[in-house]
Amino acid sequence: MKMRRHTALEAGLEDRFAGRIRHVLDESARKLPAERVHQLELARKMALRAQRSDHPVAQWATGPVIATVGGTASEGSRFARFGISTALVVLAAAGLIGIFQVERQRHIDELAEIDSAMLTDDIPISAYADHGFNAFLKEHK
Amino acid sequence: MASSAELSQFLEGVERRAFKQSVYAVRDDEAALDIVQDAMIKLAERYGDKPAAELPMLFQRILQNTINDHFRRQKVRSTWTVLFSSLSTGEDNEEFDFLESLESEPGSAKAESAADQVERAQTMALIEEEIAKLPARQREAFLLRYWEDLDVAETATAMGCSEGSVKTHCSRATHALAHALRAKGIKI
Repeated sequence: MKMRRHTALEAGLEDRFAGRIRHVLDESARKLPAERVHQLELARKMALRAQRSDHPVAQWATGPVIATVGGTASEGSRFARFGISTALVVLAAAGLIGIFQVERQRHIDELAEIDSAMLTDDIPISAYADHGFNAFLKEHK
Repeated sequence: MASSAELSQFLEGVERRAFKQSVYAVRDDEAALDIVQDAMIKLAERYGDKPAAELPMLFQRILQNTINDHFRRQKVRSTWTVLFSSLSTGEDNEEFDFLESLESEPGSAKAESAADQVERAQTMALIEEEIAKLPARQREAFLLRYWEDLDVAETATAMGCSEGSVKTHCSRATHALAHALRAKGIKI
């Protein structure tokens, strides 16, 4: 019991002593040179930008990066350039697909025209499979 | 999740103490500034989505790890702290009485003269010097408990040790500081 009371007393004295040390430390922190305070402020702002960079929606609203931390281009213009490039690629791909579709349809139409001519002609279709008849046609063209 | 405003408010409140803590540990203002900056960025990047109430403990853990990283990179150990820890370990401080270190403040409040201000500044510098001389773990525990206001459990988490170790480190740090300041004739 005595030992426990002594420990409690000592703990109380420790707290009082530490409290006085704390007071001195607080005063020391308050008296930091202005240059250091400014540097700490810059470090804090850099950290806050790091938090915002994890959220793409918020990134759009941040505006130009301060030159002192190495950034030279605005985040907004970088996004705009990326968007334009993507749009151009998509348009080019769509154009190529469209041209391919048009050419394919033209080829189909040509084949259909030939087929319909063959089917409506007086000469029977089996005649076109005759190599001798083909040779005759070439001689008399 | 801590908002940007909450994170900003927390960092603004802790940055000066974090800088001083780092200076006590590495004894280099520029290195201390880098450490604080790195710790702030790591907190924002990796734990910016945590609740605001967890930020103090998380930041202290990151700060201490960043300080340790600095030492690993520099491969420098303070001979003072090594010598001091070898002197204090296992020593009995039974003869030391806490009551002797608590001198009551003289008189009533008065305006400080220039001489008083100089003396006060010198006293502050000596106290900070003794804090810097503490063994790293004792200093860490003392500052986290009594300057950052973390409770024993939070301090243990930040330091990566048991609550019993925190109490032991704090007690030894307090005794060592009081003993050193008394030896220098400093009364606070």
